[in-house]
Amino acid sequence: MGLQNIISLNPGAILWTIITFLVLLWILSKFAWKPILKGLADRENSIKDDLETARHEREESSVLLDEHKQKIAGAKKEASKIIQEAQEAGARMNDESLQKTRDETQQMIERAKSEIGREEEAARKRLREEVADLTAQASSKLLGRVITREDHERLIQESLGGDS
Amino acid sequence: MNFIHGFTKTFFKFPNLTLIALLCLFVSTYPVQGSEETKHEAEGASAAVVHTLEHHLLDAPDYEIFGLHIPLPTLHVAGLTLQVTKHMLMMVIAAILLILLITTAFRKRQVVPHGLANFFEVIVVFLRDEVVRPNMGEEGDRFLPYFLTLFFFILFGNLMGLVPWGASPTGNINVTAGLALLTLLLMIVMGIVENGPIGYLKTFIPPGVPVFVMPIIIPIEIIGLFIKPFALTMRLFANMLGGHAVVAAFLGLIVTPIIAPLSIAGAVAISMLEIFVGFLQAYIFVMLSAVFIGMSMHPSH
Repeated sequence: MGLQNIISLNPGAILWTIITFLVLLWILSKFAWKPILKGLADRENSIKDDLETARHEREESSVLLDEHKQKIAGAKKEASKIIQEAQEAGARMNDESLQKTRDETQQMIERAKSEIGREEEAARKRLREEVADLTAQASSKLLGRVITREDHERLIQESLGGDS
Repeated sequence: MNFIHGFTKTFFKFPNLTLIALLCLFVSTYPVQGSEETKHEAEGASAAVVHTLEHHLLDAPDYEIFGLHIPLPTLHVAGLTLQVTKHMLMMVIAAILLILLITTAFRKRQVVPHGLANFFEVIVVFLRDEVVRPNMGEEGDRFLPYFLTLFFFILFGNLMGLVPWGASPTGNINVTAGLALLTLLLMIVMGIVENGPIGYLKTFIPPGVPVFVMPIIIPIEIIGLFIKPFALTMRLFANMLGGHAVVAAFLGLIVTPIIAPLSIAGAVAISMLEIFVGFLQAYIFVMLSAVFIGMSMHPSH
């Protein structure tokens, strides 16, 4: 065999190659390519499914998020309303109680004033009676006779210049 | 002792460089022995180089290891003489290696592949998405096992030549011719299956060609059908043969140990290139097979 034989064809060797290749093709198809390609396809499908699911869930969650945002906004509004109302009520109540206290104080003052007035009147009356009595006594001592109350009254009226 | 100490120190600092240097030392002894052997058989340096080239590139009916010639059997089947040769042996070893590697890599099903399984899967996905589908469409998936087997068979065949005591079966024209014949067969069979026998014959008549050119065009088309697998055969065979010839030539240049480092450096560089060429040629063979089969299935494209 020389170098010139390097491109001479040999049917036996070609047949050898084809047989070896076909056997290899059969074995690898059965034990390698089928499971590998199936695994690849499975993985691709599962990734596709995962992406699809993720997209779906993202959409869902964005809807939920909007809903929650709206809910939170509503709750905030409500809360601020409640607070405002409470503040208003508080202010009103404060005003009312102030007014009431003021009124009550006023009433107490009025009551106290009228009481004082009454007491004064009573005291004045008693004083007047006392003075009349004392005057009567003094007058009776002076006149030497008992002056009754009625006399006395009359005398006073006369002295005062009134007829009634 | 000082030398050994220095060596170990260098080894741990530059393991790759040291290994290459050792390799140079080891390999440089080989051609010297070879040339000594050939002194008895042939005269002159050119005869030695031819012998070395023959030894490295040619097929042989026996397998040589450590100077031992192991004869390989001859089978007689149906009137055909099937001589088991070095390249045939290498081809079978490559096929067995391929089966073992792939089944080991994918022994346990894993969702996320790693290691060897990743390597195989990257190539499988590449061939499917970049080679078969663009040329044959989704229906090309049926032929994926064929193209995948073809690619890995050629790749392993190419790389076998870079293994010590190995040889490239794809550097043998019979092997590449066998593979190209299978592609030719698929071209014709799939062309007939897809277009019908008459439809397939019509594909040899290109549309819009004047009648008087037909006698020239039709033979050209028919010859073209056989030129395609012929080109496949010669491209792969010549690439592999050429690469090994260059490596062998580099090593054959060593006549004194002084030239050895330079020659070894050249041989190492060419061997690295050979790894790349091994992948590239396997890809080209599969790529063109897919293009040719796809074209004969859908001639309008």
